Amino acid sequence: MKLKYFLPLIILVLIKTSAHSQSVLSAIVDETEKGKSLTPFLIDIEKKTGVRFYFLPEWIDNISFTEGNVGGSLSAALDELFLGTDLSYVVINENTVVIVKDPTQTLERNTVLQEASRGQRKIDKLVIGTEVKSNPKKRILFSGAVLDGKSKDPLIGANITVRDLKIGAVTNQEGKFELFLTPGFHAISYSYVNFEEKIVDLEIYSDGELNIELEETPTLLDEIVVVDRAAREITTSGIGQTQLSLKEIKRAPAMLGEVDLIKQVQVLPGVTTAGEAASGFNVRGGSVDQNLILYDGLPVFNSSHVFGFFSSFNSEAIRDVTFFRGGIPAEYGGRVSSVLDIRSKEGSYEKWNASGGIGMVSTNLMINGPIKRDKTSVTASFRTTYSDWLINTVRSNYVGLDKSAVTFYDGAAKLTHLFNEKTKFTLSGYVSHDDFRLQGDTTYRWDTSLISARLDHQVNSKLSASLQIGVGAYSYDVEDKDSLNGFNLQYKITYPTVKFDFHWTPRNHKVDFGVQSTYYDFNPGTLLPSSEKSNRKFVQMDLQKSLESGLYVSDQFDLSKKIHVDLGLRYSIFTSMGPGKVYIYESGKPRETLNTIDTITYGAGKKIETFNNLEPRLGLRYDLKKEASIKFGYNRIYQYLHLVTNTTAVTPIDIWQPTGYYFKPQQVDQFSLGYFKNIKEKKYQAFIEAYYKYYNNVLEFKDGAQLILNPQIETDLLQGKARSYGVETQVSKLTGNFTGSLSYTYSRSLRTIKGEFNGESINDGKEYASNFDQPHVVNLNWKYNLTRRHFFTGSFTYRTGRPITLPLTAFSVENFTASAFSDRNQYRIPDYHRLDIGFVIEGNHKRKKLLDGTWTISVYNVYARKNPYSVFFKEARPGILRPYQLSIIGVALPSISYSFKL
Amino acid sequence: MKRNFSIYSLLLISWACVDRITFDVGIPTSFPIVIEGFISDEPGPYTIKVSKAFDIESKQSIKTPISVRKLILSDDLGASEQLVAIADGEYQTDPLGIQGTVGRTYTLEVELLDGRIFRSIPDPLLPAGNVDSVYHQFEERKNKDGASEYGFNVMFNSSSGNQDNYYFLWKFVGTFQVETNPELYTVRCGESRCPAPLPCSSYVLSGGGLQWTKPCECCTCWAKIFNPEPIVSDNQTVENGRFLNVNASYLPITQWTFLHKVHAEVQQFSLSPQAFAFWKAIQDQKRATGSLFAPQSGKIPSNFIAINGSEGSIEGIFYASSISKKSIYITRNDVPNQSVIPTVELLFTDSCEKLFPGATTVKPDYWID
Repeated sequence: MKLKYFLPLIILVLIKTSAHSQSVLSAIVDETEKGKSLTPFLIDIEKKTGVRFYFLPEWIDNISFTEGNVGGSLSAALDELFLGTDLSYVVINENTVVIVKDPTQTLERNTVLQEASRGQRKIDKLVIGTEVKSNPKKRILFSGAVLDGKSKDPLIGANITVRDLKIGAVTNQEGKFELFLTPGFHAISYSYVNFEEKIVDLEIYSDGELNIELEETPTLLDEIVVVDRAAREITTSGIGQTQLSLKEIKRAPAMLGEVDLIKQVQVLPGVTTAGEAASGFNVRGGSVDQNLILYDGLPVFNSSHVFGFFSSFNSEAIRDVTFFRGGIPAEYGGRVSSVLDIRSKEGSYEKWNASGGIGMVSTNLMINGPIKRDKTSVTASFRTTYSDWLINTVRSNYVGLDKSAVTFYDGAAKLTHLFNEKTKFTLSGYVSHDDFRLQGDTTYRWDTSLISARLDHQVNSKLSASLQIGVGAYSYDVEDKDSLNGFNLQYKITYPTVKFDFHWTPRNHKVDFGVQSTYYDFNPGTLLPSSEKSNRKFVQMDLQKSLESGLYVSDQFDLSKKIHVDLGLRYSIFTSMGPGKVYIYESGKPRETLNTIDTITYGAGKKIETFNNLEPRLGLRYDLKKEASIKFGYNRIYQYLHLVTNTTAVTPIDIWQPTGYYFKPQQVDQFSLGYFKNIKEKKYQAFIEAYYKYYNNVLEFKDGAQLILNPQIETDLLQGKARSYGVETQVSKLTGNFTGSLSYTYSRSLRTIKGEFNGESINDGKEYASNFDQPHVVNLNWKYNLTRRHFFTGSFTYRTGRPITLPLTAFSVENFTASAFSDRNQYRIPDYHRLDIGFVIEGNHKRKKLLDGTWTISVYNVYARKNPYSVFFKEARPGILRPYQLSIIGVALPSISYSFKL
Repeated sequence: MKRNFSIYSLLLISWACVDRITFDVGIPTSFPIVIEGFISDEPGPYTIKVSKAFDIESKQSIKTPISVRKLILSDDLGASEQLVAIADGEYQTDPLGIQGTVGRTYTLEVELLDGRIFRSIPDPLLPAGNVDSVYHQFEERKNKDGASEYGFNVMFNSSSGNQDNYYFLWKFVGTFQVETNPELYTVRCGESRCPAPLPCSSYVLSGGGLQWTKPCECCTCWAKIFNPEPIVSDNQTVENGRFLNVNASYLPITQWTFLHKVHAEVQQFSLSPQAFAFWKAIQDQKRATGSLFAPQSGKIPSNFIAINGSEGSIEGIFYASSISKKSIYITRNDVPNQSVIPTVELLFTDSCEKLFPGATTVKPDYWID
């Protein structure tokens, strides 16, 4: 057999094209050649014309002419047949044509394998299909799942990179991935934060599937800080998405050593918070209620303990967290700014494990293991506090905080049963409770409880489905035992939910579709007198019932080698239904109780108002050379539940108001554009992302609004427009002893509330800064490895102070003096900045050990900055208000905590 | 053990604090005009006061009266009357002029000296309902230092009358008789102090002693005590048009208030929704002060709007109201334990008005000895 070497390309470009060769390449491929191999055809031409074709037969043996080649020239046929392969051809001279195979792919593959070998990493060899049958032109589907080797949990967001082709994929919510490869040899890398990378030397000639189990690394690897997934995986993920690593979160310095998921979200680019320990977070200028927080698929209405001091999620019980602030998939709906999707851990199917932590505020314990080995597992976690001391140390008698009491607990449990390889059943439960008693007689309690059952089934290799049925409840009550005014105020939302989701993977596509429905049963308030002496009367607000449903479909596919498309469409339906009363107001007059002219009563189940909306989603990624990409995202989302509050920070006694007769759904259109780049072989990564959001029907309160137990709450609320825009940047160093990231965000969040009548505008209808407008935000995180077990960590954060409304003058009317305030949000509280440092000592890194313990010593607020948690007003004289700030953490706060695994 | 100690010692650290915070808002270059007053179903004249707001950072709450070019009160039947100045910043209707009537709607228009015009939103004069009963409850409270303080909660029951209007303002006026000793007034003379009885005491120095000449004119006065915040109706306490067990005010037992007795009067003012919003905003502002879950503070909604493109805004309120009143006396005998009434240990030797600004030496009509 002839062996002809290709020539360096640099020579090729210097050689003139031959007329003879050209005429051969112009030869027409006739009908008889269809289905025939290229090799005999070229050999035949050589014999007939004397033009020599240089090639290795094994390169083209499996390439045959197709229907599309018939009637065209040989050159066109070769162009078509070589497209998508590493083959090409060049005309050397009038008698010579060389078929060239690009060596880059092979060299890259060899380099990867050599590096892995030198690093004594295990390389798995896998062959799928046989070379004889392969067609180098063929696109081969390579799919599989990435699992935690210990628990068998799917790893969501794991990277699968075809190193020689420089393409990759990210595992989905089920830990699955799909890649289209060319036949032949490939070096595949499987990686996941804090898991050992695995290399597979793959030889593939037909569609195939491979499930890989990764082992958790005993040593700290690259990242300790939360690095934006968009930057880390520039070629594989959508825009505005972040995968949070719990292991990273646990190693970051934390207030009082309490590992806090929500606080880590608050330092991501584009995310801000109202105060030091405020509940919730604000995403790209959105309000706190615009974040959909899901725990095992069910919405959570309260994400914090003690008014925001601590997250209500025990990090020990969480498997993974995905945060979407930009490209929100069509699967999610109902909140317009972000999605925080929290999945709890499954128990091990192999052996019993325990882990826990002892901190200065709380202690937690988790146990998990098999009920029936390899079939049924269970996990249970519990966390409680001994934090009374915490609140008693407040160096102030501010509202009696120093004499107050606080307790909280949360717990989670999960039972998983594998019926077979294709069917899994999961039962998940979660509870959270807070009890906060102010000095005196007022006690606040709030509870969350969730329970859901889920059935996952793999219908066939291309289709999987999951059915989830669950019910959630959020409630609070406020008890005041004052003898004259004592009362008990109760509030509750109950929301049964059903979801039916499908994942279908036809060739070159990833299609998700499904239907979701949630029934909301609101008790907006029940007021009971606390005693017979109390002058409070029984009040029962009308119950509010509504049904929110969504149909969605989304598809991810490659439009070309460089263009990746995410398309989605969600159809949402929201129906507000009886029983209920709707107050009718005189037209042409302000919506005030005085102008009430009628009341319409709706019977149980009767439709009050229905809203139907289409929500398109679009994501585009264009891959540039040198590990860079440009991404574009567009979302339209509707939100049907609104948090009604007139306090700056969210409190547990705020109420949720469903869309209905007077309140229209909030609508947001968001545009995002980003540039993402890896630098120096992923040693550094950087991104810059800009966004613009436009809101319709945002809710604002009138000055002096009465929001609780107000049957005509529509008279105290206003709806208007808002917009927010910003630029987020981040640079990360991901390898070496020193790693970290620096991010800067410039953003604005502005609102316009302009009504028809006096009192229905805010700031005379002019645009003003929202409560969470914080233009400049800087976050810096770092980690320095002293040894493999000891490392310093730290973080610095800076934010512009949030807007505030201030008293400027005072006046007296009759016997009362009052302060006159500025227009809303015309001033700002002092800027927020804080430095935290930590030192982590991990246990030894032997794989088999009885106890794996980690000490975390940290100092929160190193330079004792008195950042305002709350700015409030006290009377200097009757009616004369002076601003004061409550700094929750006014000192450098050291802490020590210990966590362990058995 | 050493480690345990270090951990627990951390628990004792006080790490939260409250500090005064200042904002660089500059000194206001202009202060809003404030208008206050009401027309009621009680006979006129009705008084309107005009003043200027003052800087929130000023050391004293000084109300500066200002003059205006014109004040016109009118009703929805076309009657109108220009008010006349009776003092700086104080304007009054003719006693025989416009009279408040239930069912009518009233408007006040003001033209400032610079020509700007503002007009109040027409305010209906709604029925007041009735204060049905006033009563008291003795209460022991703990102050900030934990010491006991004693007083009475003045309570009332009222009704809205045969109507659906539940917007009311309740004012409390407590009147008590005070005895002072201006005849013992002294002035510094050299190293010590010398007797110098005030002329109104009717005593004169005579021969080194005090000589009575006529009845004292400033020894006895009647002082007033008000609730520090306006009380507005709360729909959570209304039942079948009745407000029961509403706390009008807390009346502390001091050496002065219960020297004799206290006349406790509860006044019920009917309000329109606009006027209610104004008074409720003031009540909310005072109650929200220092509250952990205080709502964001905002503007006190004045019911004046600019006319003819006038710039700026007006603070304050002009409202129309029907008034119902009821009063009781609370005497020393109502105090369950007489020992909680402080004894007068120090005589007040200045005039009564100095001790209680606004007190009067003229016995009120309603005062019964």
